[in-house]
Amino acid sequence: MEKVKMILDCDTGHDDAIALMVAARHPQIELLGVTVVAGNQVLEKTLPNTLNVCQHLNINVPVYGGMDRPMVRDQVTAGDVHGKSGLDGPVFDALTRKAEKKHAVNFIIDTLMESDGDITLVPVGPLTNIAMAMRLQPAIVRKIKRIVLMGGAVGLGNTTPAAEFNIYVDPEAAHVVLTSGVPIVMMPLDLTNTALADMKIIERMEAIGNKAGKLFGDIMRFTFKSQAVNGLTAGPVHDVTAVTYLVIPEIYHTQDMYVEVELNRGPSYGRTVCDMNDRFHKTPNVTVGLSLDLDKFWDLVEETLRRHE
Amino acid sequence: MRTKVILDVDTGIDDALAIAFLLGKKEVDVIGITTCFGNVTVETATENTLNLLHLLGRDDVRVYPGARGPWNGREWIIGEHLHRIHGYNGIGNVELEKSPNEAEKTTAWQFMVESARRYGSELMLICVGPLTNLANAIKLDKEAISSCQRITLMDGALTVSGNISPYAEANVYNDSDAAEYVLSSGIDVNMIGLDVTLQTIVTDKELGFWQTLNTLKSRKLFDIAAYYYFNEFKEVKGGALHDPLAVEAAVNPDVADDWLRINLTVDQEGVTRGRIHTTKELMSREHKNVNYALNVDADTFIKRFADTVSEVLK
Repeated sequence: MEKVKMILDCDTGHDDAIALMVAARHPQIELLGVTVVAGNQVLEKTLPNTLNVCQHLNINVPVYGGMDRPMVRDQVTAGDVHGKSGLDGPVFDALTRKAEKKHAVNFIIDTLMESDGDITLVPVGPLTNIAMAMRLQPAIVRKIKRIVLMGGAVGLGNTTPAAEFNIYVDPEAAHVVLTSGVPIVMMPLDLTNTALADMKIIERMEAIGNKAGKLFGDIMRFTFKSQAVNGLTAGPVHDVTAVTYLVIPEIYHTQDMYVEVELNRGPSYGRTVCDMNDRFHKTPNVTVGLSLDLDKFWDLVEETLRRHE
Repeated sequence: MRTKVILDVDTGIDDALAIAFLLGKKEVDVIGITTCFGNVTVETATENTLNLLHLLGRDDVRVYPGARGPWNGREWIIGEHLHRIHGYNGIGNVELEKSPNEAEKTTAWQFMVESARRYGSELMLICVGPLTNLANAIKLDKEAISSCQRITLMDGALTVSGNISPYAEANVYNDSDAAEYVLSSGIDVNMIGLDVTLQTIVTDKELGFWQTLNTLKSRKLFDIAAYYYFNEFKEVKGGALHDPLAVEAAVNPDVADDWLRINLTVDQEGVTRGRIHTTKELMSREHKNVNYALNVDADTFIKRFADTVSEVLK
């Protein structure tokens, strides 16, 4: 079976780190590069966090630094959930791995323009890098096979009652992406909040006995506590659900619908308005994930972590 | 019961003096020494610490190696000034017999966290190198580290110029990200900065009598100390007891008679990188987590230091 070519765009971040661990070692995924954006923390932290994970697990994929702030709005970060470093919990060796010189946005543009239109983008942070690339080189839109993103919510948000963090941090960028015409699959909070790494899951991954399993434990033991602010009993692995969709879409229940981002600066700023019951009578632009088979999901995560050294 | 202590070092001459001083303090129980890059590489710091413990007949104290460099892949180099101050091997070019012991496999921060979980308020931490190991420990388990009885740092320059730049003290500068992480964590720390350590300059006059003890220990440690106080400063003869003062303040906070309660932040870029200061926003916070020493009784301390170490050297 042919491998799925993908670029991971992330703001590492706890669940981002696990998404990276899965994307880097799944046998059916070819990870072309990792682009990093400000989000869970500022870029000065999310970039070294990403490099730290790559160095720690010997993931030899080029990493590119990208946008350090949203397109329009003032910067927001998530220190409450991810800690001051953006990846509190695990501790790494001194970082020697370096990011590539090229800017993430240029890497995305160049890679897509040279491709045969067979590359999937998997953004699991704010959509700033992707939107900037679309603005800088509009021709990439025809080259993107598909975008599978983690972000938004059908129901309640986690940052405001209306908005999910990734979209709230850069709603204008999300608007650019959702109106681009590229086929989009979206993993909203409603689905990702069910993928909870409870103690049973944490101990199961740690029991693998390799560095990846240990790192999974160090990461999710931190969010196990920090996610209480969102009324959750354990830490969700939001971003991972976007990566696993690439290889086992059959375990997801999805619905195509029209989704629009609220750009007015009221209480709903950054909300993904999901027209599940077709009230607007507009053409669906997003395939929205509504639920997934968690047993099969965790089996795949475990299987992939086992492939690490 | 005696309070348990972990000392975090980048040995380093004044680190070596701090180790000897701490071992002479009968009121505490040294459960381990953790090492970090800084004055030297972490490998050299570990080796120097093991060999020094061996010299002092304390092979029972375990050594746990820590960070090899600063957070976030920042550049870090051992400049020529460090060779001038600490010698090429970190301990004044003095040769010590190799310790039969190996460093532990457990990392510095794991050891700190595990000890803090086990002993809680019976444990004190003293950090006299870059704050990377402590930051890693807080990152791993903040709850455990905040349960410690007291955390004392040799860090910073608030009312005086820095020593690595006009703005920055070397331990803060060497890992400014980790320093910010520790200082903004909300965990209470006592800080012994250059403001007070520069009040504790020693020369032959205070330490020369170590020579007369005429033991291998005393000769070696005197040579190490002498190298330092002849070389630390270009302009004056004498060396500041930076790290030993942090040890004294940990065991006996009254050595400093003026403490400032403050919240601090660390400059991260440009010429002022590593500078500590407060801000309007930080001033408005009710909880001040830093207790910053502004004045010490230097004469009493220096005498106590010289006498306590001389007992260890006999």
